[in-house]
This record gives sequence, structure tokens and C-alpha cells, in this order.
Amino acid sequence: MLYSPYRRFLACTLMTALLAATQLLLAGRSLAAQITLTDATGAPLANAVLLVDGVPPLTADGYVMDQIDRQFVPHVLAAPVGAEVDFPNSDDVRHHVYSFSEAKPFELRLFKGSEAPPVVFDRSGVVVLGCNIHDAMLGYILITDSPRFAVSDVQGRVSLPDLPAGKWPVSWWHSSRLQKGPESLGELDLGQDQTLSLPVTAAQAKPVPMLSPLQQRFKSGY
Amino acid sequence: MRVRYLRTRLIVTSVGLLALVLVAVFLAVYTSTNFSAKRQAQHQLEVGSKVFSNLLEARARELTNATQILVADFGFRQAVATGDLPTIRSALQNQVRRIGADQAMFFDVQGELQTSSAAANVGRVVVEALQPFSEQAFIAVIDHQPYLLVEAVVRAPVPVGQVAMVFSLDAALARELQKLTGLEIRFVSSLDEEIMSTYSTSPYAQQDMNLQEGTRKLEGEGYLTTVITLLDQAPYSVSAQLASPLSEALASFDDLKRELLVITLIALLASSLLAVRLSGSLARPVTLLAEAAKRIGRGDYTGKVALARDDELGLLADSIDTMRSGIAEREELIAHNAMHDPLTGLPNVSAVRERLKAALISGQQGVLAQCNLVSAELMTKARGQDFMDTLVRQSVTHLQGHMPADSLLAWQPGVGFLLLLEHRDLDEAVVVVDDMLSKLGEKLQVDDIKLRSQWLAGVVSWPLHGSDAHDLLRQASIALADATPGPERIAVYQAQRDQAYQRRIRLARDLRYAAQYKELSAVYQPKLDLASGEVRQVEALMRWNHSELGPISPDEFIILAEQTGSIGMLTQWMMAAVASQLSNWIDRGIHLQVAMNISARDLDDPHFPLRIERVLQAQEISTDYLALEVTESAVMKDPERNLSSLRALRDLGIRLAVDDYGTGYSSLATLKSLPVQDLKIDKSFVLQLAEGGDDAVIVKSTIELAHNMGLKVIAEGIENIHSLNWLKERHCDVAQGYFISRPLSPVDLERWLEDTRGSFGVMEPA
Repeated sequence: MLYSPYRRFLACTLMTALLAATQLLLAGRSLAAQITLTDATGAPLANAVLLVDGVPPLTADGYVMDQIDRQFVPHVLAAPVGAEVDFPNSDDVRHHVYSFSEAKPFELRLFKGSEAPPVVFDRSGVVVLGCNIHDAMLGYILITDSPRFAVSDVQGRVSLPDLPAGKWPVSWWHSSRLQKGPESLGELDLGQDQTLSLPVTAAQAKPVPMLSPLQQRFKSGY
Repeated sequence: MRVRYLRTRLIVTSVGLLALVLVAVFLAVYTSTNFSAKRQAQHQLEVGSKVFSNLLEARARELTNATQILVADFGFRQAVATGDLPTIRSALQNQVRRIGADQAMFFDVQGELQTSSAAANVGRVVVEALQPFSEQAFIAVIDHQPYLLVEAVVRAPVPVGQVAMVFSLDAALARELQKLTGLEIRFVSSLDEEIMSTYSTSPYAQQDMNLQEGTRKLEGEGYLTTVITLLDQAPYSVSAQLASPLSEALASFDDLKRELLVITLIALLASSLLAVRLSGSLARPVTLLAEAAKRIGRGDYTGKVALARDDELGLLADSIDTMRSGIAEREELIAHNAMHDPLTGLPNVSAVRERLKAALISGQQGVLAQCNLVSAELMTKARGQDFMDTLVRQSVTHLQGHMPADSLLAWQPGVGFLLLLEHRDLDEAVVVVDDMLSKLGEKLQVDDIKLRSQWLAGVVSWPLHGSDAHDLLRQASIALADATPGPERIAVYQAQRDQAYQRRIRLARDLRYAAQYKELSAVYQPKLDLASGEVRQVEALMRWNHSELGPISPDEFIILAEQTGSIGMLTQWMMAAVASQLSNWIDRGIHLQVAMNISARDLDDPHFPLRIERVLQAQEISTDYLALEVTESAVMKDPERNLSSLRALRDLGIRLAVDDYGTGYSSLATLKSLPVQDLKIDKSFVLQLAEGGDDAVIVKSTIELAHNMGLKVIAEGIENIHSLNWLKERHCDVAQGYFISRPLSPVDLERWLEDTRGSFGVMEPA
């Protein structure tokens, strides 16, 4: 059988587009406010998760952590406790996805395409994803108990459609808070357009290699 | 003057110069090799330093890779992610063994040490300083020890921990690096300038190297050092000290230096030999020329001076040779002139002297003859020197071919001919000389005059007469003086004659000063009047007491004075003395007639009578008191001429006597014509008178004849009573002699007169 990654890519894109269109439709139903997340410097903060508690959950499934061009796509995935996440491999090489996180240690040995079975994340917490073959691959899955959540896009925009009006407890998470859970922002009314500045440094915002711990200790020697 | 030999100088200069150059070259090479060695060592040090760094980096890279592999291991990551420390530790230990690290450590994401390969040390391991060394490696000070540290972050996939592998900067590493770099290496780590630890490849490293770059000596060996600071984090520091031993670099030049030394010595030796040879080729001809010049200086003109070279020295040799022949020619000419007479071309007296000396030395006998022209002076005056020269030349020509081949005939102006006859005895030689005189006496045509010349010869023989050339020449001339024309034209030298001659010459000379030196004196001998027995007359006689030779006999010095012309002077002195004495006696009433001798020369002087007169007048003495005695031979020499003088004297009233009668062969007729009053018989007739014989007959007849001519007779030489009586009996008028009295000084005479007055008046035979 002739396998075409391109077609797979097209299907994914189409699916995502459909999903977005549905959300747009829903937003159209109730007023969808424009919320933008920035880092400490005011720059748009991508891949940050905004969580809202106290509201009815939105039933959804089809959580997917794809691997495209030796990268986890999306970089950050938020999913409710008990969610079943698919790890399709859109690359033409095998990946060996693993996680040593307490929330869900698992290992998907050398698989291609959709060979890997979906993984069920039954505990809340941060799951750091890596590939044993490709060290540069890094992804995060935030398993949360919060009923509503969204991941900011490249522009820092967060979309939370059909949110009931009023103030709700809001918290946020970013990969810079790797060892910690989401942090509360207090009760916020997200029904209006607003920009939320998060205490994330620009350096933390970038997924660049860090100094080693030892080097950091003797940074003064540089 | 010290001779500074050209040759030595040339050698010293050239060899010295070369030696200087060689020494300079040697020094230059020596210095440059040393410099080069140093540079090589420096280069080695630089390269070694780079290699050192590269090696350390390579080592670090290697270790890093090994560490990376560890941290990439899924199992290890799982162990780390799950915090499985025992597993981590065992993994670290495994890896340490595998890659040969000294230690591996695991840190958590906070940089806190969690575990290490040396589990026991956990908690005590302290990383005190850390400084990057390369991209992936660090230099660290852990527990006061220096380490190379590589690290790797354990990602799962986010950093979950860190692994650090350390490699001790110890002696083993240093040795390993030394093998690769060729340098001595020493790791030094210090805290607050205090050395905490050192690791090195050689014992010297225990010494303090002061952490400086440069050259230093350690244990007698020179090193170039450099310091690479590996870590500098106050108060910690770690450095690598690298040292490149100079000896190794220098050793590589040792062969070169040795070869250079050998080459230098060989070059010096070769050049010395060459210089000796070259300078010899220059100095040897110069020495030869100097010797030749010295030879010429000594008068040795034999041997051509020549050098077989066509350079300046050859030219010089030619010039010296030209000079040599020139000097030889001129000297020959000078020698010829010195030994030859320019008039005749014959050898001169010098030549004879030389030949004579040679002959004397050889011990051969021979004869020297001197020949001269009779009355050459007169002829010269009469005819002139040119005539004489021509005569001599003609004579020489005439003699040619007639002289024995082995004879030497010479002419010396003023001396005459000198004839040297070697190897001949006297008799033989006299014949040769006589032949020569005969030949010379032959008629010659001189200018327009034909003449015969008379020649005399004096002959001397050696070794008979002498053994000195000078003496022989003198003796020949003495002999010549003895020669007289006629049979005695050749006179042979006689030794006694020579001594007398010497004495005569001296006396002749001194006589002229005798009066001046008051050596002359007058004595008076009484004359006894036989008829009356009274003494009325004395004869004044001259005495000469020579200051050195003592009393000189009058017979000797009077004759000499006559011959040399001094007699006039003596007569004058005597005249003065007599006049003075007469004046004295007359004043004192002593009346004696004094008879004085005069010579023929006095008579020759036309002014003589006048002078006598003046002297007497000056003393106011009557002429009666003076009598003059003239020898017979003097009178007879030129009777006519003397006659006028005698007459003049007689006219003055002076009594005249003919002295020494009987020796001059004069005729009584001549005697008769002379204005004389007395005849004095020569004492030779009187001495043996009493013994009878011919003398008595002559004296007796002489007395009778004289009396007949009106002359008084005086007999002198009376030495005994018999003679006196005999004469008295024969009526001789006056007697004089030692029997009566010897000549006395005036004082003695006066006393004698007192003592003997009348004693001779009656004389009877005893």
C-alpha cells in the first residue's frame, strides 16, 4: 500500500479546520471574547494554558499529540483527567515516545503511523513527552481537573467559547512551571476582550537549551 | 736593532687574520646555533603548548562524547527521571570504568550533588571552582585537586539532572601529554597563591617554577618555560607549566659544532702551511738579496746576483747585480789608481808595500832595490818637471823587456824606481840591479836632447835586513844615500849605518836647538909655548851636553853641523861665547889669546869677517886676542874663494892657523900662498911620535919646512913627556895635548894657570 504522509497531513489540517469552524460556530452562538496572553515583557505568550473552574465542562474527545517534522504537535496539549490521547506518527521515521512524569509514565516503543495505541491519562499533572530517538523532541500534556481550558496560539490568543457570563476562578500554566501545577489568577470575567500578562520571562518563554545546573552555579566565572 | 723578520710578519699577519675570521665564523655559528637551538626550543614549546591544549581538548571531547552517550541512554534517563540513585550510581561507576575517568558525579537540576561514582564520598565532594576550558570541557577544582571536567545534562527530555565526569590533572596525565608534546609538564593548583598540589613529569617540577615564562635553569639544565593558565577564579588557580629542555635542542647542534671546530682547525692548519709557504716564497728571495748585498758590502763582487722571477724581486735582483758589477769596476779602478803611478803606469809604492807584505808573510827571501837619478833635483831645476817626466817615461820604456819576468818594477814620485825581486839572494839581485842601472845609463833621446843619465841604487835584502815592509823601504832609501856614482853605484844596506843614521838625524835636528836649550858650552885647552914654557894661548873647544844622549863628541856633531849647514850657527854661538870670555879675562887682567875653529862654510860666507869684527868691537876686544883655525881640507876645498875671506880676516889682525895639517894632501906651495901664520900638525902624527917611525920623520920635516916658510908650528895630541921633549928638541913652537892639560872650563883653566905657572918652563926628561 502506498503511504503518503502528505495526505495524512492534509487530513489532519482538514480536521483541525473543521474543529475550528465548529468552535467559531459555537462562539457565534454566545459572545466569544478576545483574550490575549503576554509574558512579563508584554510579548504574546504562546503555548500557555488558561484554565477556568466552576463552569460546566465542555464534552470533547479526540485528543491528539501528533509528531510532525520530529516535533510534537501541538507543543502543549491540555486534556481533562481520563482523556485518551492518540500519538499518531506523521513522520516517515519511527518515534519512541516516552514520559517519566509522575502523572503518567509511559512508553510507546518504536512505532510508525497509527500503530501506537491511545494512552489514557487518569491523573492530573504535567506530563513531559520526549522521544528516545530524537532528543530534540519535547512536548507537554497538561492533564487538568478544570472544566474549561485553552492553549494560547502563536499570537498569544486564547479561545474559550460559550463561557457562562460572570467571574470565574481562572488559573494559568506554562512549561516554565514544569515542576508545579497551574497557578491561580483569581476570579476573572473572561467575557470581555482582555490581555493577561503572565509572570513568564522572555527566556523562559523560548524553548532554547538552558545552561546546565553546574554552569549556572558558576555563572559568575563566565 | 732587533730584526723583525718579514717572513714572520707575513705569517703572523696572514694566519692571524684567518684565525680571526675563523674564530668569528665559529663564534657566529656557535651563537646562531645556540640562538637557533633556543628558537627551536621555543618553537617546540609553542607547538607543544598548542598540542597540549589540543590534546586536552581532544581528551575533553572524547570524554564529553562518552558522557553524552551515558546521559542519552534511555535506561539511565529513566533511572534519573525516576530518581533511582543506586541505579544512577552504578551506571556512573560503570561509565567511569569504561572511559577511564577518575570520577563521575550526578547533580539534580538545582546543581546539587546527588550521587557519585565514589559513593562513599557523597556529601564531601565539593566543587570549589569551575572555568570553561573548551566548548564542552571545564577545569575544576574539587576538594583542592585540579580536574578536567566534562558534563552532560540528562534530559527526559527536559533537564532532569546532570552528569559530570572528572579527570584528574595528575602526574599520569602529565606523563601521557609529555609523550605527545615532548615537553616537561607540570600541573599546579593553588589557593590564595599557596600551592595546593603539583603533578609533574620530572623531579625538577618539585621546585618552584615561579609560574613565569622564560628561560631558567633547573638542576644544571636549561629550560624554556611557558605557563598556560587553565583556571583563574580567585582564590583558586590552576595552571600547566610547560618546559622545553634546551639541552635537547642544543644536542642536535653538537655534531654541527664539532664538525665546524674540526673544519676550523683544518682550515687554520692548511692556511698556516700555505702562509708559511707563501711568505717563504717572498721572504727567501729577500733574504738572498740581503745576503748578496751584504757580500757586496764586504767587497765580494764575485757571483752574479739573480733570481729566476719576473716580478719586482727579479727586477731588484737585476738592479743589485748591475750595482755589483758597477761597484766592482769602479773599485778595481780605484785599487789600480791606488797601486799605480799615473805618470808611468807602473805600480807605485803602495803596490810594492802590499806585495812586500805578502812576500814577508810567505817567508820567502828576496831583495828590494830603490833606484834614483843622480842629481835629480838639479836636473829638475834646470830642465823643468815636464822634461823629467818625459825622461822617466822614456827610461821606463827603455827598461821594458829587460826586467826579469818575476820582478816587480814600480815608480814612486820623489822615491824613484822600486824593484822587488822575490826568491833571490843578495848577490843574484845585485847583478840584476846593476844590469838595470846599466840599461838606465844608456843614451836616451828626451825631447830634442840626447843624454845619459846616472842612476844609483840602494839594496836591501829580507829576511837578512828586516822583516817589516815599512822598515825595508826605509832601509833601501838609506842604502841609496850611501851609493855614489862609479863603482859604488849600488849600496847594500848596513844595519850599523842605520843606527848611526838614526842618531845623526836626531842630532842634526836637536843641534839646531842646542844653543837655545843651553846645552852648549865652551872649554879651553892650554897651548904651551915650548920656547918660553909659558901658556899664552888657549884653544876654545865646543862641548854639547845633550839633555838625553849626554855629551856628544865634537868629532860627531861638528861634522854633522857642517853637513847639515848648522855649523854657521855654531860658529856664531862660539864667537859670542869666546868674545864674552875674552872680555871677562881682559877685565880681570888675564891675557890669553883664544884660538877658535871655523869651518869651510864659514869661509864661504862673505860677511863672516865683518861679523867677527863687529863682535870683537862690541866687546872692545883687540883682534890680537883672537886666532882662528881652519882645517886643511876646508881650505883646500876651494882655495881661491877661501883666500879672500882669509885675507880679510888677516887684515883685521886676526891670527890664522891651518888645522889638522897632514890630512888634506895639500901642497906646500898652496900653503905658502895662504895668509896664515901657524901650521897645526894633525894629532894622528903626534900620538906615536916618541916611538919613532914615519910619523917622526914627517913631523920633523914639516917643522923644518914650516919654519923655512916663516910659519910657526903647533903640535897637538901631546900625551906624554917624551913627545913633548922630542918636539922641544926639534924646535916645535907650541904644544897642546892631554899631557899638558885637557880642555878646561874657564874657572878650572884660571886655577890651572895659577897652579902651573912656570912648571912647563924647564922641562927635562924624567
